[in-house]
Amino acid sequence: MSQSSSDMPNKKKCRKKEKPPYSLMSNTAYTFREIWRNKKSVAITAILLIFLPPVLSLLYSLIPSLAVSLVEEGASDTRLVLVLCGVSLAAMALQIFNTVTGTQNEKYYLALNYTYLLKLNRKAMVVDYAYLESPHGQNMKSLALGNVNPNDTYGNSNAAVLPYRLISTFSGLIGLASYAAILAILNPLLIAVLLASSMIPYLLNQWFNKYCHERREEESALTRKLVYTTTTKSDLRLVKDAIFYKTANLLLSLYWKAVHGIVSLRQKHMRVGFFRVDIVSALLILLQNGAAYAILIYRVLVAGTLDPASFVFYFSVITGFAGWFQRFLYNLSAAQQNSRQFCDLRAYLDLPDRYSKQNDSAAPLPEDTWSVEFRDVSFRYPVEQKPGEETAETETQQELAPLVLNNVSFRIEKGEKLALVGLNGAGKTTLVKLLCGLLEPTEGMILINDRPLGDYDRDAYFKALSVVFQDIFLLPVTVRQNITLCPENKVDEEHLSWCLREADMESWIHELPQGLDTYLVKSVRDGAVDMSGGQKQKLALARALYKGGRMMILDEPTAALDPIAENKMYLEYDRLIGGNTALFISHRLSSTRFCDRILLLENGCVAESGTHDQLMTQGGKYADLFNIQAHYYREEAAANET
Amino acid sequence: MKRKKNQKPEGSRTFSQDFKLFCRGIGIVRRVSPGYLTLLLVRTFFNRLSPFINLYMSAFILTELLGEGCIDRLIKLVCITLVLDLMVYLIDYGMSRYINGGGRIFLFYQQFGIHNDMKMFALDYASIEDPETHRMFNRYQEMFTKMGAGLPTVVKGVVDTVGNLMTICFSIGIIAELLVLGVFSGGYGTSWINSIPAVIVICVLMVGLCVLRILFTSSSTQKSQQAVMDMLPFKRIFEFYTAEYVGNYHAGKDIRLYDQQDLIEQDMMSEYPRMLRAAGKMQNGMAAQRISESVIGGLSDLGIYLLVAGRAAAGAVGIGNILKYAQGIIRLTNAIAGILNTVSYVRARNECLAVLFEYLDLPNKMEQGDDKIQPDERGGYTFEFRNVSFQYPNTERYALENINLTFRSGERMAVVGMNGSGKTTLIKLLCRLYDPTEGEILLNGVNIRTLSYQDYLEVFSVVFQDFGLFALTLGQNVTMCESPDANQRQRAEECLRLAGFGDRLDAFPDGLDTYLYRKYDENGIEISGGEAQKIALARALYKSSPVLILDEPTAALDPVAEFEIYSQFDRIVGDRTAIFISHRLSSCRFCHDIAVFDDGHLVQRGSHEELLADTDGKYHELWYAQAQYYTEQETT
Repeated sequence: MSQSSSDMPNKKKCRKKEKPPYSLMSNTAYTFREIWRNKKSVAITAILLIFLPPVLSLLYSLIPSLAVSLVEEGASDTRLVLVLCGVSLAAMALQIFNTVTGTQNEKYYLALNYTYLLKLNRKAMVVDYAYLESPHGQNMKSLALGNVNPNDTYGNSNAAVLPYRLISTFSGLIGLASYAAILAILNPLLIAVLLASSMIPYLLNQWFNKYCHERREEESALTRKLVYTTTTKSDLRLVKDAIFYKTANLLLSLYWKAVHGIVSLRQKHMRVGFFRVDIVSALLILLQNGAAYAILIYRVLVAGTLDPASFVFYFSVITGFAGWFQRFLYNLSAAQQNSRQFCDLRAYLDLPDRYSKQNDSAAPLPEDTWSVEFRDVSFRYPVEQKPGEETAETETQQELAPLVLNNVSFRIEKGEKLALVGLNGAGKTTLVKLLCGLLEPTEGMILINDRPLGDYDRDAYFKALSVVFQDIFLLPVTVRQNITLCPENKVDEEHLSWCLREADMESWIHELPQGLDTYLVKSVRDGAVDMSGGQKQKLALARALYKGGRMMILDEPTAALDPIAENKMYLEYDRLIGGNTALFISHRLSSTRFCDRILLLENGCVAESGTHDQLMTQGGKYADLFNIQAHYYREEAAANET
Repeated sequence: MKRKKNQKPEGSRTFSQDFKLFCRGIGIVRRVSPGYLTLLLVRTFFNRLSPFINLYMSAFILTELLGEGCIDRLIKLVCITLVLDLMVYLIDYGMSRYINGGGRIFLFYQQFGIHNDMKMFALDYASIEDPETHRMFNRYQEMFTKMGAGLPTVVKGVVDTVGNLMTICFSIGIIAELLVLGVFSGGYGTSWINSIPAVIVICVLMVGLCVLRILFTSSSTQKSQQAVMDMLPFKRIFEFYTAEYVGNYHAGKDIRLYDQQDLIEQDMMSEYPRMLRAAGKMQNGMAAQRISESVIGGLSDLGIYLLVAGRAAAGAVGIGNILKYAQGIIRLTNAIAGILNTVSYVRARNECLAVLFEYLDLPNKMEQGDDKIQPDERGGYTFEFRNVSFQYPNTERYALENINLTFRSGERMAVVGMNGSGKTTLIKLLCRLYDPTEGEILLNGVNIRTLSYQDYLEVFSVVFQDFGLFALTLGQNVTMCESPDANQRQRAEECLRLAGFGDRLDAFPDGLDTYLYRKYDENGIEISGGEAQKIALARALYKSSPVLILDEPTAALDPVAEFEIYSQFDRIVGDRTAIFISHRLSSCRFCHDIAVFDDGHLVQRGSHEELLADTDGKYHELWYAQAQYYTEQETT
């Protein structure tokens, strides 16, 4: 693995973008394997669906010419009726079969589409967090998701319909071959003319798509502006600002600028498309029809080998030929495009995980309380390669991203309650992510009970932590499920009500229409409710308490609480934590008084550490910060005392 | 049919109601995007004409071939056909290139999108915040984005219907001869297929088939539209997870640490079987429709061919015209069926229009007077709340109850209280985002309801707790001008410096022309929450309104930045009236006057010292909840 990755850049350089990582064959195999596993009938009937459309269309072209020929030869009524009915009914029967089978398959493609989407979501939920968070990972994911968009069922941007495209390609090919065979009887030269008149417009269109594709940069900059102004102008969260600052005019004017910019760009392309593609295509159709008429008329009148009925039949075959040709080429290129999109999908699904997860050889987590140690931990985010840049050069002389944490060392003893303080941007949140095992240190190591974090099973480690993050996300399920995160029948109601009491949520829940069974997130389900910032924070605390992990990590858990609720939490902090090891992160220094020890983080380094009193006597950075915050309160106290 | 209509509310409109909705839709399309419909219809004309040219001309050619076979005349006919074809193709290609590739459709979508936005801009705040409005608009939006219903359906309806009417005219033109000649000449009864009873039977059967086909199609159109609606709940849930929960990497922390994968997957797929059933129904409906088209259509085609072939065999019409007549009749019946199909398609989707119009017709509840605002003799503004109570719409609880309060010009007032005590509501009433349920608010003794609303808004600069900045340039964010002039730029810079953003501004590569965030311009600069708050403050200062309102202005700031702002407070506010909402009481120290709210009531009012002296008061409780951690220090 490491070997192949070292010589990758060179390879990439010479055939960059040219070669997709998975071939059309491989993607075809992948998708049919998926289908075979889930629904064999779809795979089998797919073969029939290849042959039916050409047969059907031949039958349909036969009907008018049969009518002409029967009348011309003065056939008896009975024969006329029997022949026409026979052919029509046969066509109808086949058509019904084709529709029924096709529908069964289409139903399945939708399910297949969601199978892929579910796989992607599942992957995004388990992939290494570092990938998930990195712009590169996000980009890969949004590419993959955009390629299996279920709302775009038969558009070109849905890789899930690859099997459908392949079937259509083959049936186009067969239709093309059979029509060509018929025309070969008439005049092989005609096939050449038809091929030319279909091929040239196709090539021109290819050229035109490339022409537009090369110029898409211009439009994509405008599109970005358009998307931003479109979503922002109607963003209901900004309504109040819009009212007081009259933001609408500015946004609308920028919006129309983007719209008109896009329209004028497209009109420029349109002119090119019309003069270089459409006019030529129209002239070629003229040529094609002219040649067809010439040959047919020649055969009928001069050579005398063609009857008018055949004239009708051949003429419909000639017009049909171009249709098959287009169907073949269109579906072929769509299949290729789907296959390229499939590559994005599989690239994301095949992302390797670096961390040991559900590792059998992993050490069991310690049963007693934990100690935590950061030993010379440094962290920087990896530098992203911008797409399109030559990777070979940049890798060697890459600029490194700044260190977010620089050589951080500290220890939390068993059962100790540590407060981590620092200004915005000091690296507090990154430290939490490292401690949670979501990110891995660039240098140094983290030890739990003196054993490296990497030795433990990652998922088991996750299960043992209770964390309240600064940003809180609610699931669109019931309040009960949001807190317990387990199926209804496994909820420990007694424990739950204890958590609710501790998190001070009872009165809020009491006011809800369905109490604990009320759904959250209004935009998803009717009758659901949304929560205020303070309530969300309480819910997150309740969730952490319910989980009852071996270590508690609280990142700014009181930012949205009012002073009384905040104070209440401080007073009960000890009881909430129990005997567990805990980390409390805040930029409000008042909150650190109930912790055993304080760690001050500044610019990614541990600046000071000690108890409140120690640090105050030390008179360093912490004392400065404390005095700034205490300024107003203390002045008052002083005034009161006098 | 009738029973079904009762089951679903959206099917309960009468034909004339649907027709009215549709007509109003046409009116809006014509208004927001002038010329668009005409353009589409002209294109449709050529589009519909083109097959008839070939039918018509090839019949001539075939007749000539079967008849005299004069080469000169054949060449002339072929040339005419080819030239006509070429012209129609060029017009059709050119127009569709202009409409699709040239951005005309795109422009149309933008134009009517703006039309809906304009309504939102015009709505009063109370209606915008009303959950009912949200529900309504989201319902419309969902049908529009996920089904393409709404105005695009109107356009499609018009184009299809008019196009089919054109086809009907063309085909009648082409078979007119048959109707005259075919029926009356050539004689009947020479053979059974050509006997009058047989012809009548075939005709009756064909009409019957046509009716059957229409009935079948319209019921399956309705069913499949209903199925599309049934798929929406699943899509809503699934898309929420995909885009906003699993799709948001921030939530990825919770997913991993709280082992939410299974729960999410389960909830995400909870409506999946129902969606698949609905999708199956829809597909079945479409299949049934296609089968009925091919069976009924096939049978009626057969009948047409028999009829025409029969008439041709009798010599009533020329053999060369068989194809022309047969195709003419087939297209005629298809077009008739098409029109009726369009009607049921449009009616099934009309719910979207109904919701859209309901939204567009929302009245503005707020009274808007036109009296000019009169500052008092010293140029000041005094506000008075007189017995004001307020309930949010559709709630029982009073958010504020019987408030009496006066703000005087040039004062600094702090409004404090716990979460949910009514602080922010007070501000919303003062700024007239809402009108009081009871009581009145007076500005210099005049009820604010009688004042011009736009003028009234000019009195306030507000920094809300959940303020928003735009991903535009710094200068645009502060001035709200697209290209601020030198004067405006200078003032913007002053305000930014005053708000404590000076150092950061100096470090910005393009100064005021630097883009914030990367959503609009990819070279933008990311700013922190604290910096954003300073910019929002600068924007409020720039507006230079007499009253400045700050809602939790330092929530996102760390203690150092907070201290900076506080210590500059007097300079920042200048001679404005300032109202300050916070639950951090340290900030109250700049204010002459503090109003304490608790549970919707004004419980205390006075200076810091006065309020603190009342040891049983709410203020004392709030103050010591915070202060104890800092004041204990004194005693140690």
